[in-house]
Amino acid sequence: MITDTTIAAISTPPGRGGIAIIRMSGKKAFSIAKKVFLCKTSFDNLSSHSITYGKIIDKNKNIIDQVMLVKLVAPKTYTKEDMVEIQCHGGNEVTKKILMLLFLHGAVLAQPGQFTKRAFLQGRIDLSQAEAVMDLINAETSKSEKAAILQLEGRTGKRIKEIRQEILDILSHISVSIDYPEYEDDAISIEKTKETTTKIIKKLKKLIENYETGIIIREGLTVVIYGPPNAGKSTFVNKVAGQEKAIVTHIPGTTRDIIEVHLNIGGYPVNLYDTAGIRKTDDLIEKIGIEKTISAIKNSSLSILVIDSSEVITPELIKLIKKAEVVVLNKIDLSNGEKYHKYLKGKKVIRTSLLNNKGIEEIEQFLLSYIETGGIEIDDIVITNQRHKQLIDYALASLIKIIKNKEQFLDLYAIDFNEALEALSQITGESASEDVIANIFKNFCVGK
Amino acid sequence: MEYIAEKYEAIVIGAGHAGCEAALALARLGKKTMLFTLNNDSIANMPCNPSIGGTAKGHLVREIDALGGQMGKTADITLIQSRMLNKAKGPAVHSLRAQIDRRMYQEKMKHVLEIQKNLDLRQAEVTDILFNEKNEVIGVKTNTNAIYNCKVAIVCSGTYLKGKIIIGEINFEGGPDGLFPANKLSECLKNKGIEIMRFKTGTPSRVNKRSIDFNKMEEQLGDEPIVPFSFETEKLEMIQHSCYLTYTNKKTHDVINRNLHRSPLFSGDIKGTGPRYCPSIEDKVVRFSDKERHQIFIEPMGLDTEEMYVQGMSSSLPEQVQDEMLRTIKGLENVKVTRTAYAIEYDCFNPLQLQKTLEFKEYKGLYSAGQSNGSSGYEEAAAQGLIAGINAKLQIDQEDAFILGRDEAYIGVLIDDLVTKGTNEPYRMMTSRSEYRLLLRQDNADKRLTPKGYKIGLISKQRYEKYKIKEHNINIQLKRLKKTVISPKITNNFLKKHGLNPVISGVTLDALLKRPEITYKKLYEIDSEREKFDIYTEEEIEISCKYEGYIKRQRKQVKQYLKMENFQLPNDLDYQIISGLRIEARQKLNKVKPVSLGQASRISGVSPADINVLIIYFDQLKRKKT
Ligand SMILES: Cc1cc2nc3c(=O)[nH]c(=O)nc-3n(C[C@H](O)[C@H](O)[C@H](O)COP(=O)(O)OP(=O)(O)OC[C@H]3O[C@@H](n4cnc5c(N)ncnc54)[C@H](O)[C@@H]3O)c2cc1C
Ligand SMILES: Nc1nc2c(ncn2[C@@H]2O[C@H](COP(=O)(O)OP(=O)(O)OP(=O)(O)O)[C@@H](O)[C@H]2O)c(=O)[nH]1
Ligand SMILES: [Mg+2]
Repeated sequence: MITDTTIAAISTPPGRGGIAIIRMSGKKAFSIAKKVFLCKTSFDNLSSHSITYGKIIDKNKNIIDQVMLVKLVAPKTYTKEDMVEIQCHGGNEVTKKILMLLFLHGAVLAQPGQFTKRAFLQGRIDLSQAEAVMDLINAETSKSEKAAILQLEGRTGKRIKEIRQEILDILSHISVSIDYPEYEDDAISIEKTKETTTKIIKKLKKLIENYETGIIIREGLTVVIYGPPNAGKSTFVNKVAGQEKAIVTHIPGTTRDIIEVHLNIGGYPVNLYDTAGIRKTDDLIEKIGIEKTISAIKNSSLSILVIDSSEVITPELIKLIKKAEVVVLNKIDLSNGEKYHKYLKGKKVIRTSLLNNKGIEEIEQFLLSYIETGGIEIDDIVITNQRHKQLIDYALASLIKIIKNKEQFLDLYAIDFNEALEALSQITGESASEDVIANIFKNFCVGK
Repeated sequence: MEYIAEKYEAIVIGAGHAGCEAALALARLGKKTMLFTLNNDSIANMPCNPSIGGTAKGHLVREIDALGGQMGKTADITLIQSRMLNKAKGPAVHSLRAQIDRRMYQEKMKHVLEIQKNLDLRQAEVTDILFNEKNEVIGVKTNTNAIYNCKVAIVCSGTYLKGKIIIGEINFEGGPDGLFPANKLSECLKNKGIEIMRFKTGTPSRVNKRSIDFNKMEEQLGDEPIVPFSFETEKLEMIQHSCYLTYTNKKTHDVINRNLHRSPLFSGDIKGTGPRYCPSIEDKVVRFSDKERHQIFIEPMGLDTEEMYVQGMSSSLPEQVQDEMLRTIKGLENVKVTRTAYAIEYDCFNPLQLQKTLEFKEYKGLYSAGQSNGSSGYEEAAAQGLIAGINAKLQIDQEDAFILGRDEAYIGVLIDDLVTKGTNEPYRMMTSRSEYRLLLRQDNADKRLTPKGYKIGLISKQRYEKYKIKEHNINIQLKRLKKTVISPKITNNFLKKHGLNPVISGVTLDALLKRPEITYKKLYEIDSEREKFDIYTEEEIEISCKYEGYIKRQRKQVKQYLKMENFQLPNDLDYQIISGLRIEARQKLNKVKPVSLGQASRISGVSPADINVLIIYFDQLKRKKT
């Protein structure tokens, strides 16, 4: 058929029930699995459709996870091809690592709907379901495109676009040198090309490095901490972050502007926002701060109201509580906060004494479960990322070939630039060939 | 009073570069053909550069020739300067470019038409095309009220349909070079339901050689020896004529900037879409204002004329301004202008209405080729003319269509781009438009296309045999290079002589030749027994060996491409009914009606997901049938 690649993907949303399933399908499914899976019997002797316990190891024989593996011999499989299912312990980082490992050995990331498509093409799904499959493909694609767009609007996307543009510029420059040889002023030399390529490689490598160590700032869960002044919001942020990020004093109105803290909770990126305490005020700066708080709440994935259990109840506070879904009842060392109980019915309440480190674990657990039960569609973002990673790797490989190339002819460098551009264009969803031509006429003054 | 004139199998409308190739192909393939033109004295006219070839265009000429077309042969006998461009940039992009004696080219081409069996040439304006109730072509009508019946008609009307000339504030109806426009035909076709576009292009002034001071310019000589366009031309020897290079300067730019308000391009009087690759000088000065100078090439128009072409000074500023700005240029201080630069607006057809054979999808027997399809350039036109002519013949004989893939020829890229993506400016061929340019070289055009030309019937048996011998020699030599191992001693002496590091064990000639520093010529030093061939055979041996790695890589890409191309789509499908497709994709697919999945994937607005949906849809159909 059209593809003879071996495809792999995470097929359960991460975290559900603590177990994630990775599926792989295609001719090379077994040979790849053999390289990463370690168990008592040899892989070849495993019988089809039975579960085997074993370990996933990386190239340096480090154990990544203990897993259950199901070997499924064609044709009695979903796709009618050889398939492998790996059930791992979930946790986003581990699952991703295993998937990467499969890619490293030659699998490619499945496009949305690709398993189903293969199943269909192999005659596994009957005609009556075909319509549904077709609808699914575009639906899944638009969902993952949405995730991709989400990411592309972030810093990563901007960076990739910049780098793509740099490759596009070189390629246009090569094209101008070739298609308009009479314009010698505009010609580019091979040395210059390689120089620029070295710089681009550095940038791409950095991008991937960041990706691997998780420093990269991806769109994650945005959590806004708000509440009346002096309730302990800044203390909350500092304690959860494990660092003194925000100033804490006993003076109400200490925090005036939004403070952003990036954390990693159970492998998921979380952006925590400390905000200015909400109250009626005539202080101009504080007023602006409060407005910012309100708009941050609107744009957040989750907002948490922090209140001081020892404070008196005001009508203003009741209004805030009524709208809140998650409330942290702080300073329970000072008061048991009983007077608040009737207002807190039906809400998620966490009782804390942050100053004394009480309730912090409970907060973290709450955040994790919130993410994992679908509070955010992190699975889409992760998969998109992996696709991006693979494409960047591909672009890098092409660019490295350029540096090593010793040919004397400029044109022979265009092939690899084209491949690199094509790969990055797939991330940004732009058209490579049309853009080269458009770029030529935008940037060079050629033509009769 | 209308009258019924003679009956033909094929009628070609227009004797420009497209029309000449179309008519010659039809007549040579035995079809009784009539070729109409507005003016017999301007057949195969070059209204712009007096030159043929150049990057990517040189490739097209070679391909036309390999298929049995005429352009390369006529260019060879009328060229007055020849250069091989990009020699230092890689084998795939070597490009032939020649200055042509414009007048001589017209005369030679006219004579070729006149002596061609089965072909009649007649000066007349075609004003209408006649169809039966099934929208099939049955004939054409001329301005002299004659009706000619025919089975196929090929429109090659160039820039003449409703042509409008613009010079500064002045504009009038007209074709290029002071010729008449054809004002009726596009209106008739529009009423018939054909979608018309309005495009624009322009040409610089011509000047008298006697008024130029060449001492102030850089001379550009031709290359020796001359490499001919045609694979049939053995050798070309002649005195070559030079071109000259000069530059605009600050004074030139001042004149332009002062008069910008008088340019119809900036005032909005020109509505047609002009090409990006052919900016007027005022456009260049405005858009690239930091550039201190722009290149100007002065090219001879022919041997029996003093007129010279001023490349780089395309303009639609008023005549007075043009003269003033020309005189600011070094060497042109006292220049006498013989023809004023102008822009021209004209009607053409949206090429999305065409099949890859260049026949209109909705009008059987009606073809269009050349600038009337939204392209630009003599070579682009000739290539389309040839393909339309061949396919019209095949249609008359009810044989399978002749279509070149993107992996086979620049011609394939050109036509696929036009009919798949459409264009919103006159389309020019460029090497960067081809994905597989290491395979589509100008040196191997015969290898790619001559067997096809032979099969069609445009290549003689004699030429085909000659081609086969060349191929045979190349293959034998390539094998020999791979087999012949040279001892380390000889190799190391050789490598040392050329300043390269020694080897330990023996190496094959093939491996040595693959080193960037070693050429086939140098290799002779250690391979002096080898058989000697003509330079073209040797060139191909060298390229095929040296770049084997790249060529293999591209072949692999082609394999992927072909999988998609060979997945054929029906032409009678209504994509609206496929629910999984996005709305935009349905509309685009319905408009283009792609012949293959590959073509569908190149349509802008059709996503990879849509392609997956199509795969499933057709698989489902297939299964329903069985
Ligand atoms: C001002 C100008 C500038 C140009 N600039 C460039 C450039 O920068 N770069 C470039 O590559 N190309 C340029 N060209 C384009 C190039 O000239 C054309 O692409 C090429 O000549 C097109 O060939 P053709 O065969 O399609 O049409 P043409 O060569 O235009 O020939 C058309 C033929 O059709 C005949 N004809 C038209 N209508 C009728 C009718 N109704 N009945 C009978 N006969 C008819 C005419 O008499 C003529 O013989 C320019 C052309 C012009 C006019
Ligand atoms: N007793 C007690 N004090 C606490 C607790 N948590 C915070 N505090 C104190 O309450 C005061 C205010 O804490 P912050 O974290 O600055 O409160 P805030 O809500 O950010 O205040 P604003 O500056 O108004 O935004 C500080 O003096 C903290 O030490 C707690 O659990 N128990
Ligand atoms: Mg604070």
